Amino acid sequence: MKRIRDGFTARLAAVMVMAAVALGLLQVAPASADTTNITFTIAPGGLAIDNEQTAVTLTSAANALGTTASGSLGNISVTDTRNLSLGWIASGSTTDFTHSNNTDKILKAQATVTQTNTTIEKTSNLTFTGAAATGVGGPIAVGVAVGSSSATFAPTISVLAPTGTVTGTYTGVFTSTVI
Amino acid sequence: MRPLLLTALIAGALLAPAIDASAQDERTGIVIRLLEAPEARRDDPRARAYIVDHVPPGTSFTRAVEVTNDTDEHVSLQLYDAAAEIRDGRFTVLDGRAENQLTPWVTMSPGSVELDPDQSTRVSVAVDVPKNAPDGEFYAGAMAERPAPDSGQVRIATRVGIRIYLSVGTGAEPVSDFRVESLTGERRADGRPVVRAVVVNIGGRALDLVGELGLRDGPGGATAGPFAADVATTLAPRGRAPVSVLLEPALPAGPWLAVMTVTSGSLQRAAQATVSFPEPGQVGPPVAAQPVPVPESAEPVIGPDGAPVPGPADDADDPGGDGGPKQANGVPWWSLLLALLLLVALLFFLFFGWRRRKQDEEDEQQAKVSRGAPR
Repeated sequence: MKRIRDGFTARLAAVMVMAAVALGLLQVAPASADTTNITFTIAPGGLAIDNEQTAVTLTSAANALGTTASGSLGNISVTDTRNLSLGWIASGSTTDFTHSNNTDKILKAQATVTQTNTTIEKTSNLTFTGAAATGVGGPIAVGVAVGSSSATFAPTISVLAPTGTVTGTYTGVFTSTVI
Repeated sequence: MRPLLLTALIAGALLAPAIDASAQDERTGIVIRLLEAPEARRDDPRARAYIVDHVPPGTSFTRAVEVTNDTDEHVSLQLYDAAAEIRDGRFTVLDGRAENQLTPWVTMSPGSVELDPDQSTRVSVAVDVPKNAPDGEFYAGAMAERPAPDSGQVRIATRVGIRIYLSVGTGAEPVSDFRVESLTGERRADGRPVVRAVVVNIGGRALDLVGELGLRDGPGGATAGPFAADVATTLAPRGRAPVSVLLEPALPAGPWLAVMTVTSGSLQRAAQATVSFPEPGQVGPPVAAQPVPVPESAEPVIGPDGAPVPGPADDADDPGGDGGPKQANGVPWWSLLLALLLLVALLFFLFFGWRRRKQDEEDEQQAKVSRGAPR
C-alpha cells in the first residue's frame, strides 16, 4: 500500500511540475495589449508639407455666370525624410464658396483642383504623378521613392459659377493634405 | 552586394546629406513624425511610418508623435484625428474632421499647440477600443493642421498626418497576403510602354504596395530593369488594384518575360508572365501570372538607417524566422500547442490518480469487510 501511495505522490509531483511549466508557457505568451504597449523608438525622419501662399485670388476671363474662375494655389512642398519606400499621397479639398451676403453659395463640387505630372522641382529618386480632384476631395499628387525625397508642385484651382449664381464675391478654404 | 542595393545605398548616402543641407536653407513646413512602434513589428517598415496594429476589443494603447514648426513664422496648429478610407487604391483622409467608426476611439492630446520657428512638441495619440467594438479593420489619420488665415478669397490650409490602420478582433491577427493575378503589356499614346499588374489582396489586412519590374528573355535574349512602379497603391482586404510600371519608348515590343515583384512592408511576392507591347494607344491581353521566387535584385525596402530591411518572400510575416505561422502578437504556435499538451497530460494524470485512490479505498473497504466477516 505504501508503494502505491509513494507512486501516487511522485506522479502528483510530476503533474504539479508540468502544470507549473504549462502555466509558465501561458504566462510567457504575452497578451495582445502587452505586445501593443511594448514599443521601440523610431529613427528620426518625418513627413512635411508647406504652402508658400496662404491665400489666392481667382481670375476669370469672362467674369460671367456659367464660366470658371481659376488660379494657381502656389507652390506646395512635400518633404519625406522617413527614409522608407512607402511613398505619400497629397490630396486637396475645398469648402463651399460663400457669398459676401453669407447666404448664397457655390458648392464645392463645382471646384476642380488639378496637378499635372510636372513639378517645380523634385529629388531625382522620386516618381511623381499628378491627378485632378474635385473640391469634394481626392488625390492631386502621388510621390514614390526609395529613401528620402521631396517635391515642389503648383496645382491650379478652377471654380465654375453656374448659371443662376448670385453675382458677387465668394470666398472659401482650400486644404492641402499629405499623408 | 547586389547592384541595386549598392545603388540604393549610395543614392541614400548622397541624398541624406543633400536633404539635411537643403533643410538649413529651405524650410519644409509643418513636420509630423511617429516616435514609437510596437516591438512585435520591428521588422515591418510600415509600422515605422504608420500606426499599424491588431488588438482585441477593450484594448487601450498610445503612440507618441512629434510635431515640428519648420517655418520662419509662429504657427498655431490644430491636432485631431480624421476619418480615412481606401478609395481607388489610395489611402484618402476625408475632408475636415470627418468621423467614422474609428475616430471616436482616438484622442490626440493636446488638441492644439502654439509653436515658434524650429520648435517641436510631443503629442500623444491615444486609442481606446471599446469592449463591444466589432471585428474589422479601420482607417484614420492623426493630423496636424495649420488652419487657413482669416482673410482672402481662397484661403489655404495645410495639414500633414500619420496613417492609422487598426485591426480589431479576438484571437490571431488576420494574415497579410496578396497575389499577382495577371500582367498586361500596354503602350500609351505617347509611345511609352507600360506593364500593368493586377494585384489581389487575399489577406485580412490592408496593404501598401510598391512594385518593381524586371524584363528578360526579350528579343535577342535582351534583359532590362529593374524598373520601379510609378505609384504607391493601398489595397483594402479583398480588394484588387493595378500596379503599373512605366517604361522607356525605346524598349522593343518583345515578347518579354516580365517578372513583377510587389512589396507591402516586409511581405514580398513575385510573379511572371510573357507580355508584348502593342501599338501606341493599345492595350494587350491580360496574361495570367505564375508565382515565382522573389528575384535577388528586388530590394525596394530600405530601413531608416539606410540598411535593407529583411523581407524573405515565404517568411515575410515571420520575423522570428522559425518558418512557422505565428499566433497573434508574435507568440509561436508551438508554445501554445505544448501548453495544451501539458494540460491534457495533467488532466490524464489527475484522472488516473483519482481512479487509483478510489480503487485503493475500495480495496481497503473490501479488506475490512473480509476481516470482519465470520469465518
